[in-house]
Amino acid sequence: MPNSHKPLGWVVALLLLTPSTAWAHTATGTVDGFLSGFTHPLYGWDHVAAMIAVGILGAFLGRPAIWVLPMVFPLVMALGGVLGILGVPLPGIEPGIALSSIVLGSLIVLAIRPPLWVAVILVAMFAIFHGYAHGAELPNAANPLAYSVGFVLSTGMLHLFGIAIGELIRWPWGKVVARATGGLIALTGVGFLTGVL
Amino acid sequence: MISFFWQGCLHPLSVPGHLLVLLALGLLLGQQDKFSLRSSLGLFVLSLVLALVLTPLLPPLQYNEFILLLLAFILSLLVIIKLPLPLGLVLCLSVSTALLLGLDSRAPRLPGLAVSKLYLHALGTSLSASLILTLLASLSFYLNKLLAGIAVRVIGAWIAASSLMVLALLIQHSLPLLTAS
Repeated sequence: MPNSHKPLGWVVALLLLTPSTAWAHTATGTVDGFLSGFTHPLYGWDHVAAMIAVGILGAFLGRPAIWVLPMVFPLVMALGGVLGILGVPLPGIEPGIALSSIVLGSLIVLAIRPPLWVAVILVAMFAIFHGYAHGAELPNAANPLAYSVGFVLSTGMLHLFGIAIGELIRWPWGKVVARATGGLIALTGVGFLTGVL
Repeated sequence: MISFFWQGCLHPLSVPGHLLVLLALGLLLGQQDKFSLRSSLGLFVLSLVLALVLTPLLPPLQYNEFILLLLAFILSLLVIIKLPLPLGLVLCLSVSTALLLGLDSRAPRLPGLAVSKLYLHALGTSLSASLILTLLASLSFYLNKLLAGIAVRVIGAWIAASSLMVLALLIQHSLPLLTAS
């Protein structure tokens, strides 16, 4: 028994001798920042609905919209994020986010195929609101870069999920599923806009 | 000794800014032809080793995070645009990235620390960063043949978005300092 703490002592001594605390960069906060950024869009159903809608709409419109929209969204979202970080006042953020679900969801449920430039403008406009909301959270993150990588990655994966749903339109039953998802997204938007959700 | 080599190997993976720049450069190199890709990788390794050898002799890099993010943003924009770039520009971007990463990968300078340990750290960093870049560039090269390289360009857009927002945050933090001085 008297020697039971000996191994622990050695471990403590070795840890004290390890110079890891003196490195120029540390991983402190990196994983936490990444995880909190990655989960941030997933906790807000208003965000999730809109991201998935972008993917479905891209798939509905076919090429090149299927890759243009998921590329435009994060880029313009970043510009919205910059406005949020710099504290530039932008009215109607929450209604704008809710409206994005209503408009994009309605386009899908009604099977409206706007020209690419119209779709790009719509998506870019709504991306500003989403980016602004995320950007305002960025200064509080443990590691802002890890946080931003996490949430951009999460956003992209939601787009991919939407594209996967949109790709179902190749089958008759898939069309129903995709349009029903669009309807659900639009209803979610209405719920957020009216304060029901 | 092994600890220093291992810490060096993990260094590019533990610094998000370094990983982001390596990812952006890897994607860009994968979009080029085989000759540009191979020349750039070779020059990258040489420049990185040079920078890592010089690092202990030079003062710490100023505004390193800002420059890293700016470089990541520029590289990712080039990935999105996907234009064939002249060899000189690709080589220049590879060398700049390697020098920046090398000069920002400073091993700890503890009193009485053997120089060999510093160079073991540098060896680990150069090996790991070169392997990561080679792997990413190879992946990007093959992904470019799938769906006209859409996936690569979309990842480029994600990198641009991430770096732009953190650049804005850094500028916002430095604005009060600039106005005060």
